[in-house]
Amino acid sequence: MTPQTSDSSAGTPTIGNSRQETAYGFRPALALYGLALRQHQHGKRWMIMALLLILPAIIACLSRMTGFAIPPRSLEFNLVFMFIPQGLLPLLALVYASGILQDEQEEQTITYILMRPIPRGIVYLSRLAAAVTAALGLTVFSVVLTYVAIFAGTGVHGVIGRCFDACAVHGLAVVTYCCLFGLMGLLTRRVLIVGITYIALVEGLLANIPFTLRMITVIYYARLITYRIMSFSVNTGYRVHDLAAETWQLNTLNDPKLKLEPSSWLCLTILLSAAAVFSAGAAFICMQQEFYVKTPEKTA
Amino acid sequence: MCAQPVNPVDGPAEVRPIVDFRNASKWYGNVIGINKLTLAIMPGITGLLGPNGAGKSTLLQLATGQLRPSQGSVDVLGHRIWNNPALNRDIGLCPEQDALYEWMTGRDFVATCARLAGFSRSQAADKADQLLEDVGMTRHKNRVVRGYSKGMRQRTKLAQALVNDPQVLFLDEPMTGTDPVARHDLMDIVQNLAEHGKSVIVSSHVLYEVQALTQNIVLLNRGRLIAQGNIRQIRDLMDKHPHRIVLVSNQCRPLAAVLLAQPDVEGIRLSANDASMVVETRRPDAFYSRLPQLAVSGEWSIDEVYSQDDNLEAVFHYLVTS
Repeated sequence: MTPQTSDSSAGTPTIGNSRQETAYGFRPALALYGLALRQHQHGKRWMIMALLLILPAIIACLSRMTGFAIPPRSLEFNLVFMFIPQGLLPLLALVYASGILQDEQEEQTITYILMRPIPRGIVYLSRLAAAVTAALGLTVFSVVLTYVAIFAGTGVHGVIGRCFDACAVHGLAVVTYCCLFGLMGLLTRRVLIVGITYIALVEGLLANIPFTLRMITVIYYARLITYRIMSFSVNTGYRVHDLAAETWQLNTLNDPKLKLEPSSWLCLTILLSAAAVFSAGAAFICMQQEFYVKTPEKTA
Repeated sequence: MCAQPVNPVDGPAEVRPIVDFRNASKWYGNVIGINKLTLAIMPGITGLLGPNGAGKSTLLQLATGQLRPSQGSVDVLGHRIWNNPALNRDIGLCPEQDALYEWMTGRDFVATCARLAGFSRSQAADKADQLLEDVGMTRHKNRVVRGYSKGMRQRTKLAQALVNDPQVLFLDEPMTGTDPVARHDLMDIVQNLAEHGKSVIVSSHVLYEVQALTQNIVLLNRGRLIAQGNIRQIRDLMDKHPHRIVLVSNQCRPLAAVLLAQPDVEGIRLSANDASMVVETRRPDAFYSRLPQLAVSGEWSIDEVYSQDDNLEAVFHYLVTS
């Protein structure tokens, strides 16, 4: 990036003339990513979220201990593919991504970042990457723990593969959510309220109504990918239930192969494209936006 | 306002301003932070003075590219500063707010700032050690910042501002809350930086702090430039106000009668015990030139003469509050 030159450069002290030129862009961005990760590690946020994210595993353990004869596959579906993606993952992403720069601004430490030779867009993207990393780590932790709680000692085969698939799909959803809530955080100061409203109304309500509008939800595409790569059929003795099709309102009666719905690749492309657009938009906003820091003088 | 803004002190012909505000304004909604400010700051140490709310921090945030001017332009080292991260290689800021990454050690904090400035891990560690030594923090560098005193925090903030070896250093109220030792040390560091060719712009609302650092000052009030230049030049601006010269003598009353007869003396106030008097004059040079004649005549004993207006406090009082 070249400094914009004004009309009075002659006689002005030159820039960077007597010292070592340092890397521009990548190294500071990497340092910023590392700093943001360390901040996540030192905050209390991850502990609170981790406590929340072990809830499915606790429910699974209680369910198995109390002797209710819930088949592991049903438990898996209800906890890993209903409770976690609908109840926990959007919340996790909201908590991590809503304050990508605002946290630094609130804590008045953003000055130390903005005073470095890093474009603001890169500042945002580095910190978004750290938020995504932290959220992904907790997602994998929650899914793996829940699988262990459900299937440990049951002798069911293929669990590791299913666990891997679940981590991948949930990870994809979390990335998209983080990018979305990161953008929201730059557009509104009340991001938690707006975000929770979005989670409840759009991802919670709208996604469960079999109507075209659910195509604007993240969870719809994540479910489609899940349905296409995993089986959720449970034999109850009377008949075989397709738990996912029934619960997710997928029209498998008229369209058994879901040919009218987007393919897995299209779903993947849509989610990744949305994440990219949200991130680029947020980075652009960051480049234009001022980040006021309350000085003691202003506070007084 | 009792004085018009003045042009900056003329430097050598080839020297250009390091910071150049051109008709710059900054509004926070309906509140004006800086109002149509045209100001050129030359290399060296410059004191930025003004009461709380004068716009000093806004000025520094504009000059460091953290804020975008609502109107006009702000150039640093000849380049637009807003949205110009490359220029951050050449400037450093010691912010007013006390916030640091509380969970880090001082060494970790400065090293992290160095890494953010583009240095490798080992370079950053070396930089941190060197800078913390320069600011007198070697003993405490491995302590967690959370336990630092105000003075330690100021020193650490100063160290982080120096990680990129900036040409221009902005210090926002660096002495606030520090003890006399830290204050003295910080002043030494700033003087040392200036001796090594760095330009330093230091803001303060405590006048003697700035006076001890530099004679070159910028006075702000309510977002406007009140005056700029050498303290003596500014004093010369105050032609609307008589200069106050203190004479200490054991013959104050008769001496006052003689002085009052002089055309350049506006008035005289005697102290309660008649040990000294304050002479008010609009022509201090004429008054000073007459004093030796009085002293050598043998009729009058004058023990001490000094100008109250050499004190920045007086200048500030005249220009801002009257």
